[in-house]
Amino acid sequence: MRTETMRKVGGISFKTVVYIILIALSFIMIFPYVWMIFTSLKTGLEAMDTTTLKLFPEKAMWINYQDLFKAVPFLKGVGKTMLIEITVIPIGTLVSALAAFSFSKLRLPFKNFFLLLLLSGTMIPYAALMLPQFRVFYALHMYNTLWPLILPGLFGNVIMMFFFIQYLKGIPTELIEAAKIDGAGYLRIFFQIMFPLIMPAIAVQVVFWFTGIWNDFFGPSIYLTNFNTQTLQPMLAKLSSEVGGGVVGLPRIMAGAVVSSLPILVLYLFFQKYFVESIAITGLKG
Amino acid sequence: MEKVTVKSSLFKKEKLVAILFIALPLIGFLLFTVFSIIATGVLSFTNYDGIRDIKFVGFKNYSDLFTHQIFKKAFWTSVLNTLFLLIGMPIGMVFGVILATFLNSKKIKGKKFFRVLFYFPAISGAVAINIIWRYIFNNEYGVVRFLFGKDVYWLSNPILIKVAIIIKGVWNGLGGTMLLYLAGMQGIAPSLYEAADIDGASDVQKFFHVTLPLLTPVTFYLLVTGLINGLQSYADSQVFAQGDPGAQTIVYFIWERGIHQARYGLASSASILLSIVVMIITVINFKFSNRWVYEN
Amino acid sequence: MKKIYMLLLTGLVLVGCQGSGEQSRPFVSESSFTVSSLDEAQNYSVEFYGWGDEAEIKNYQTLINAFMLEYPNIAVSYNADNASSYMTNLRNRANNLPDIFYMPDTEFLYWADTGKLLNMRGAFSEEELGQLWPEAVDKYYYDRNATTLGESAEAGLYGIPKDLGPFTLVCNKTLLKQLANEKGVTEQELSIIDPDVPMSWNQFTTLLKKLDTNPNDDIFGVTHYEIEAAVYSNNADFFNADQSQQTITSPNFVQAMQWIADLTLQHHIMPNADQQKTTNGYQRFFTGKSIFSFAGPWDLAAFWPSTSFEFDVYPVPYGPASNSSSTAWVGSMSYSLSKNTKSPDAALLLAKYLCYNEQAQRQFYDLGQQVPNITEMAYNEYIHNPVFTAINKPNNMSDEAFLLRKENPSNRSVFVDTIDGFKDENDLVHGKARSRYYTYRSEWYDDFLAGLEKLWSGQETAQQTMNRLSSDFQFALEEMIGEYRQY
Repeated sequence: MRTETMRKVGGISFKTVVYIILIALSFIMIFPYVWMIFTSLKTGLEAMDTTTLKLFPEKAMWINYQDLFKAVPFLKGVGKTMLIEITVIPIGTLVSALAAFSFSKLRLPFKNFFLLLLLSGTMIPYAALMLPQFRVFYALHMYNTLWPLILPGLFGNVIMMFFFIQYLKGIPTELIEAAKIDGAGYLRIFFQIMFPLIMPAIAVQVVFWFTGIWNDFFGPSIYLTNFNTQTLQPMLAKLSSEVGGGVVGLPRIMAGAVVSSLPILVLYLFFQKYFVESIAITGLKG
Repeated sequence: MEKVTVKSSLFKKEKLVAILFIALPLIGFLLFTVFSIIATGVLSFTNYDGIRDIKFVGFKNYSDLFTHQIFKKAFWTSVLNTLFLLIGMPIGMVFGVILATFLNSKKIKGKKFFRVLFYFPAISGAVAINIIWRYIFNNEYGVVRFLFGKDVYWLSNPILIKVAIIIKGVWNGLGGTMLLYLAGMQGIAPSLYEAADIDGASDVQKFFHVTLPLLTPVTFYLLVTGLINGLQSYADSQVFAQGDPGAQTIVYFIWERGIHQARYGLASSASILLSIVVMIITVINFKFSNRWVYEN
Repeated sequence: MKKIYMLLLTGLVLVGCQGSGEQSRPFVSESSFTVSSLDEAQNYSVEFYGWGDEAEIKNYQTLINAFMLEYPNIAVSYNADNASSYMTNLRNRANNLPDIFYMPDTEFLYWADTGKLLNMRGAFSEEELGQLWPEAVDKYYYDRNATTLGESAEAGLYGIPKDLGPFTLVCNKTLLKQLANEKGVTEQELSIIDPDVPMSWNQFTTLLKKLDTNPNDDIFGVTHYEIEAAVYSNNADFFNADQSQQTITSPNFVQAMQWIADLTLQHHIMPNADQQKTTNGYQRFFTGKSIFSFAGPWDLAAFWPSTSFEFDVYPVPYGPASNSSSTAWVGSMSYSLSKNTKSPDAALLLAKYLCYNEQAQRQFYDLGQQVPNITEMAYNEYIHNPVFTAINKPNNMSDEAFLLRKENPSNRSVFVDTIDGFKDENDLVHGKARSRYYTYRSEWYDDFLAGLEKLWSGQETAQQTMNRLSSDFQFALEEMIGEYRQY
């Protein structure tokens, strides 16, 4: 109560200030999307109008979307992207979680050395690894297939693992020690005790990884060079790099941006409930 | 005596299992990282361009980064640009932790709505985001001209283009940072705040003395990944700035001179240097993390 | 652990050695191509790699299907990439090239010199080559011993033209007429814009200053100016005949650069460098904000659906230096074959088909991609009676409207005149390959462009800028000369 009353500045409560900030920020966050959607329905000339700022198009040009689907096989691209997601994420997450369990709760020899080793790998720019990797994948006839984008992920994701390790620090070791004394096997300890405990962290990281793969552009643009093999992002980039794309193209590019953002937005809206709320952590930590 | 041997054999088994559990990431690391970085290291001493026969040229590629009449300018510009763009990282973290505090507060209604909203940008495709922001920052027909006028060249002025990238980056990353901090905050036991309440601490005091210290693992995570990602930033130079010299980063330099111009040797030497610098920074980070990262 | 490292290292060495094959080749002695007939009983497979937008890809696939119908024992697999990532990907697979692929003229010298391209000399009859633009064919001759471009006794032929076309002046005639009306500019004054007789720089700027009187509005005289169009048209060049000495500090070159800068700084008829970066030439021209811009025959595919005004092409203006004439840059690309192709005969048949099959050439100009490679077709059918269809019509346009669009530009003769150079002394319109075609590598041009900022903003005169850039450029030239035959 005391703090509540102290927080009045010039008659406006602290709470009001917070609301104002939050609402202003919401506007900033949402504006580019609104702008994107309305631009996707404009004509090229409307989109490049230099004199007036008009949010709404004169007439909604749904034909831009028709043009878009005529120009690129978007659904095929979505399918390719999803194929990577559903192979890489379950396996990669399990591998990362097991490793994190080992790093933080088991008597792993040379723990710090291994951790630093793995982490050092994430510090190396992909650009520095790309060329030799390309040569190998090329020699293995994996050029223009999804393998170069799937294989590395199956061996886990070190960033994800690192996050789990940080997270596991909040879970007391006694719990595991007790289970060990009870004679539980390590896999059982992992699946029955650790896994439920780190579920919230997994949720966060899976969403991060999912969006990461969905948005991945550099890798796919190197390995996938034609429409029959391309994932979503290189297709979108191709749209925006076409000559003259800036005019006829601008609304169509925006339509592409809308279509590429939509599925993942919808997915997120379904997932967010579990995602945001389950972070209300177990309360195990004392 | 017997007890000790049982215990040590148990330990032995645990060690084996522990190694088994980290085997896959380690193998992946050897296959995809160690192999590649060694190859890149070897290439950095050659004239390799993908077409001609490989010739070893000693340290020429490395010295070219510092002395070559043309390359040194491009390289050092890219270094400065990259450092400039790192400013976005602390800004994003400060905004993120403040927002998370607001949304963790019991007094604020509609938290869920705001959380979902603020995270929107983080889940959108990078290509799409760059396309839309490039349009917004267009000084002739973008939205910014109504705020700053037609003569502020956001996309071509060497400073402004970096500011634009930072603004876009903070907007883009805010949701992610916020959610990580939120997850961290929700992991803090309410009893700690209750204890602080008993001591008569104000909200601000609680924030600085309870919340922030307990969030240091998240901060540390964000700092390490932010620095690593920041030093490797590339998509902004390529898709947002479309290669404008004012926004060419180190990795863009590597891409442009290496992949685009096929000077793999030169690009490899730059990436080896970059890797070394990043590693040094991270090791220092880890060394000092004991001093400030909270552990229970 | 040690073993793994050893394995990895061995792998690395193996990968590294792949394709490097024979070590040094001090002298090039390669037999030129001999035509052997295709074995009817054998099946051939050919991989063709190119780039293009959706329409171009579809068109190529149609042509290739027609080709496969004609030669049932040749299976062609066609892959197309983005224009922007094409060269990178081609380079990445330099040791395992597709059988047939595009080679832009600006990259040709490097690839021909490194010996990756098949020498096709001897694979064509005189009639076959004789029907094509001599300028286009000549581009793809290269003597690897003497390191000289162009046809000579020792030169090999490392590509046949995919296309050839100038980047020339394009005019928004609707806007021109409207502005002339508003500003009271007479028909007489406008008549200097002529497809056959080029303007001088002076005439060009004088006219535009009358039409674009307000320096602060968003209407401009010209969207940007092509550096090579100004340099070449002022009897200047970037380097001397053997590319050993830079000539960017020569008076004619400096004059050309200063003239471009002054279009913004003095005459206020061209957007400044920042504005040009924000809105590129196509965007500004398509939205009707500029009287002039530049266009090539390959741009028409984008011009037709993107413009709603009348436009036409004209020769580029010429400068005041002595002996200068209107000279636009002429771009080209070749179909080249991999030196290691397993089915050279089948790949060659495909190259020939794409290069000069009449129906294929007709479809290419109908799609707004190029001037026909066959000179006879260009001079007659293309200039006078083009066969246009509604192919690739945008959704929101009727067939009739789209066919009307295709009547722009009507001065298709300008494209042809620029390509064929000086036929006689009355011919005033000329073209020349981009400077990058003549140099071993092409990236020096990016560095050159990046160094021009202070000139465009008026902080430096052209003389100062060229003096400042000349040492880097000379350095780059010398470095490139050292790279010949280092394969």
